[in-house]
Amino acid sequence: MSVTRDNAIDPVTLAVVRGAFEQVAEEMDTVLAASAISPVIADAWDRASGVFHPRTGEVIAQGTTGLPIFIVVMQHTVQHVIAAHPPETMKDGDVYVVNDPYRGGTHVMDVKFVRPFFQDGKLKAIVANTGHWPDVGGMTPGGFTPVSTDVYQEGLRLPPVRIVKEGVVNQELIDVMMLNMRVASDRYGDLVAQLNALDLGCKRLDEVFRKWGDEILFGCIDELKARSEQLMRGHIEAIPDGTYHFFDEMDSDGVDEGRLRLDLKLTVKGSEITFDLSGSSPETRGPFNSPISSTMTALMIGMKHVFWDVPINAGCFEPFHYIIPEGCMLNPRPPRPVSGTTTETSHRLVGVTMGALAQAIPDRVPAGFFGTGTNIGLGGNSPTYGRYATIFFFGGGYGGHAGGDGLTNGSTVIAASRNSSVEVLEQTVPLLFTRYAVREGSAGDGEHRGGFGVEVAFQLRDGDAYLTLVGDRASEGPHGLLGGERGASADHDFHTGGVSFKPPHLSKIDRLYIKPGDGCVLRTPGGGGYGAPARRKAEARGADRLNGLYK
Amino acid sequence: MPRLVGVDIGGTNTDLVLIDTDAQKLTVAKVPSTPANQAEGMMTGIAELGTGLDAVDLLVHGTTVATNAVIERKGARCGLITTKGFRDVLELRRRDRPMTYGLIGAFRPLIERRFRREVTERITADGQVLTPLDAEEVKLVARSLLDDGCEVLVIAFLNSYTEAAHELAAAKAARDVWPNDFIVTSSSIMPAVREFERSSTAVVSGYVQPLIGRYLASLGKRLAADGYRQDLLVVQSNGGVMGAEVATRFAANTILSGPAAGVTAGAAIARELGLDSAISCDMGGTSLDVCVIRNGAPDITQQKTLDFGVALCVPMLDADAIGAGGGSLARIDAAGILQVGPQSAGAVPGPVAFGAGGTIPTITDANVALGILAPETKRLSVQGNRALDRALARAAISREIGEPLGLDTDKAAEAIVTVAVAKMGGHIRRRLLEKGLDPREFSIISFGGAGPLHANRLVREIGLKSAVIPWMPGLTSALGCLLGQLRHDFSRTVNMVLSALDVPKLAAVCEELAAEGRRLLLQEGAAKEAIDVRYGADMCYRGQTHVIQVEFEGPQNLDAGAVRAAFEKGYRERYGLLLEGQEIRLVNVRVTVSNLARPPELGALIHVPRGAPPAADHAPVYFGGTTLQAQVYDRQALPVDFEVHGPAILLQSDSTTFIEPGYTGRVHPSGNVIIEAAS
Repeated sequence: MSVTRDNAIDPVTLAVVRGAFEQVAEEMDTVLAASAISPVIADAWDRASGVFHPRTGEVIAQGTTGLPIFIVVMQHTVQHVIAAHPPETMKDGDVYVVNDPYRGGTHVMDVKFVRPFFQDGKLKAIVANTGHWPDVGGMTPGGFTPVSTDVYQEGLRLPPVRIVKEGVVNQELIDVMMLNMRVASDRYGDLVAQLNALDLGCKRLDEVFRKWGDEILFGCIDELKARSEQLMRGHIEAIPDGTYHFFDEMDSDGVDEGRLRLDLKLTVKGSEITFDLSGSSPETRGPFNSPISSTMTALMIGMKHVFWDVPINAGCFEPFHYIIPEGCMLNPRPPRPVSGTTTETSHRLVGVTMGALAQAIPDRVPAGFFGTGTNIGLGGNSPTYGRYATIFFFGGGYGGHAGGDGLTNGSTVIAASRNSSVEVLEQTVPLLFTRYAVREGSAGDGEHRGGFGVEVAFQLRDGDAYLTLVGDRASEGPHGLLGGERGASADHDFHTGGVSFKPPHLSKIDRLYIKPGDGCVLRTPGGGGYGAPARRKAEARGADRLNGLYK
Repeated sequence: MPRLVGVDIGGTNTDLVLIDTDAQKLTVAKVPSTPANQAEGMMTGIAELGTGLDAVDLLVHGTTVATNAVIERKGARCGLITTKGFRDVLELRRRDRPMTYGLIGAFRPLIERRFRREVTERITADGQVLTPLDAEEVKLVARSLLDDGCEVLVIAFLNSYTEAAHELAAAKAARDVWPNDFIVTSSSIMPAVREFERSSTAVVSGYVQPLIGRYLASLGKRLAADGYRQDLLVVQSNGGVMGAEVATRFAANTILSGPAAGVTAGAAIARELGLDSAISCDMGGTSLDVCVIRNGAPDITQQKTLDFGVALCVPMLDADAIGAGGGSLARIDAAGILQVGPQSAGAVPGPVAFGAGGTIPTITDANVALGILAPETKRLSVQGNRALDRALARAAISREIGEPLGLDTDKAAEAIVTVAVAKMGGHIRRRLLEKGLDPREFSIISFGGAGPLHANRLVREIGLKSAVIPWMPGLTSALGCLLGQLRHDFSRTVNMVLSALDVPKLAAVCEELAAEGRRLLLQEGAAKEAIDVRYGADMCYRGQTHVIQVEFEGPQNLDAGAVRAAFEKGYRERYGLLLEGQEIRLVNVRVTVSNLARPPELGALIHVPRGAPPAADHAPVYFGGTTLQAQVYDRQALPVDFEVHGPAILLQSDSTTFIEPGYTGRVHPSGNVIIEAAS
């Protein structure tokens, strides 16, 4: 396939420049993960770095190991910084900090740092990173709560403000931040790691701009954007025109009983797509609202899990149009609570996007995946471990697909984070795990079955603690495709004082007070099946039975 | 030890080197590999060296048997016994997926679920017995696995890193019913925290153990039948060597045996040239293996992923590979952008220029098209170069790359090399930066068939100090087999806080590990007075996940203040700012035991000509958008201190070196060619 343009850029330069920008982002990611304190950044890689356009804030390149959930969010964040601080007011050595979910964000625990890059007194680009801090204050240790009713309860909120002014650190701001967070010394370590990473990014950009010069670089940036757009449009054109409708329901918002509807009409026309989410539930009292930037990112991740070869830059968003009414739970107004966005709502929205696409191109899209973060927050006091606060979460099954069975215990689809090991958890907090296993029978049957969810059981060993679960998907399992069956839904049991019970919202519980021996059994969903079960090969079925995966 | 043979078995070729230290002579051979039974190729190669095995005093071998078994899932059938509730640890992995985008891909565990069974027992994180082990239950379960055809038994219990008693008791009980020695406990292979990594490491070890055992036994017999009377040594993943007997027990330590030999050679060359900061760079047909070498020692890593969801945690040279080799394919992607690799033309059909049916151009084809490989000289040619068809290569490049991009063939060929070098350079630069190292201080030691072709380009791309081209680039790995030492690495998780360091306990752990190492080395034939022991630790600030490695003095002189100073020095070098006031943790103790006997001196074996240089031949090469006349020399005819100014091509039988305009190649007295920017 040949590309012809009047102002065609030398193809070699284009390839090398693309690599150079990606390299800058990768290096920032590397340094950030290696030196952060937050295990969520360092071990689970819940962070992202990028290079952005100095005027438009559009993304030029992001690191390949950054979290998917940040692919649109970061661009929106930078654009909010530019809106609050126009480029002509930015000075060399300034760094802005922002974490407000309502200014291009997700939840308050994702803290972004944005730094203009100057060369010879001229603003040439913007570098930014985001890192998940395990705590930024708020009502629940670890930040994830299923019961907040406004965003003020979720932690300290920062609009875009300068944390470094022309190279001088704004210590007063840092003092305010640290006073409002649990374990402030660790958070200071994360802050330093993020600033150091941006510093490296600027040094590397300086070399890139000296080597190539503005004219070639900005020519390449425009060209790369055009190429991504062209590639995305090519994929869309291959989808038959039409409107594809798909919806899914969440268990509840954690405060009020009653299911929440995520409803997508995906309309393909030529090389453009309109995402219409207007049939979705109105904004909720509980914290499962999704800020507009998170909503748009989730739609994009759904596309990217199907068309993964499109390089991410501003160009791939061009063919998209959105109908997401303000006041809908997918475009809430402040101060609605949002802490359940990334643990639940985003996952499900990715699933809804893929569910709609599957109607058009079922050969390219897997069946439904587990779609829940199943996030445990635990804070307590122990005679042997002292005071502690931590979060951890669990994987589940992916859907079967045209090429084979789904993956067992896949990572969350909006991230790619690894789990904490049982032994490390037992070393850090006074928990005893009694089971961490494949959840037998949980995979949806089909010609290609889903992957299996997990079954995990743990209990407190000493002292006392508050146990919080933010989850979902307990009412209905992930959908099957082309006759494949649904995967099993989530199924959680808690026990205190020898009495076992299911939480009132099935998948959510807030600060359950537990004593030694108290705990829970969590069972995460399996993936949906792909194709009719009758078509499953006898030997595959036999192997599953031999392996005890089905009773 | 006057006559030593090193054998490196690769995917395509088996390379052999014979060092005669008395005669100070080096003999080499290169024969096709025989994947079905690697010993066949080795015997053919030994015959080609022109020596009888009865006259060989030591044979050292780098092997890929273990790696191939894992990648192709051709290892032994293993049974796994775990703590009740945890038989799926191996299958749940660390909750990951093969690609960030795209929710597809499968995982194949090395042990199927039906061969993973549980027993009742539990030890807590602080090493207390919560539920005792029942030896009879272990025997029952072991017998059932045996009945199901398992050859190897792996035992991996939760928290065994802190208390191994249950694993040891289970192994003891199992021995009553298990018919062979293939019983592996996770705590003996990797006594460190994290159940998935430890289980996986033990399973990898068990999975390859019978294969390695049988392979080395049959090889030993074969060698003995041909008159070999001495020890057979195997290259380990850490760059050291070990006896064949020990290798069966530590089979997991042979996983990187192949690449390790090359890195060891690179390190020896760095030491010889006095280079504090070097990168060994082995570029073959399908991949580029890179390892950082500091102060003459290769960097070590504690963990690698061998395949999706298959982790191995033993000390290994920190060599990693990217898909960029001579055979890497060039293509135009869906966005219309030129991409090179990671797909490779493989041995069959190979590059287009081989004329074996390949149609998609490779990096090798680009170099042929540019006139750098198999240059069009007037008289000079070197035997051993495979016949390369320039017209075929140029036609393919024009058709597949040039026309779609609107470039003529020369420009398209140069574009392939440029993109490939940018990719390799980006990878190497990232490796250095990850470790906080400045590329400008580093020299690249470049070998393998395709390494010397691109060494100069990488120097320019990354801004390195210089490139070093070894005397025989294509046989460097075989040579490396003979440059390693008997060596064993041990570790133990201790999790101590530095402010309350339990010095006697730490010293006891150090001494215990050192004693085990000394015992092994004596068994392998090291002299007692030649055993060297080094102590170190993995450390980090409280709360951090990534550790840095710190060395300290032996157990007699342990001192918390010195350990802290060493940590802070390392941390500052790597990240800049210290986290004042934060507690420091000593996570793992590490002990390395090695033989101090000196390897053969390379310098004495290589006879670099002295005197007048030969006259240059010339050939046209395309470089930087234009055609230039390059000087062409027979590399091994160049005398000491001779300087070649680029553009130049140095020919030899196993590799071709390219020197760019603006750079100078100088023949070092050691025989290495050193390429630097012309002053």
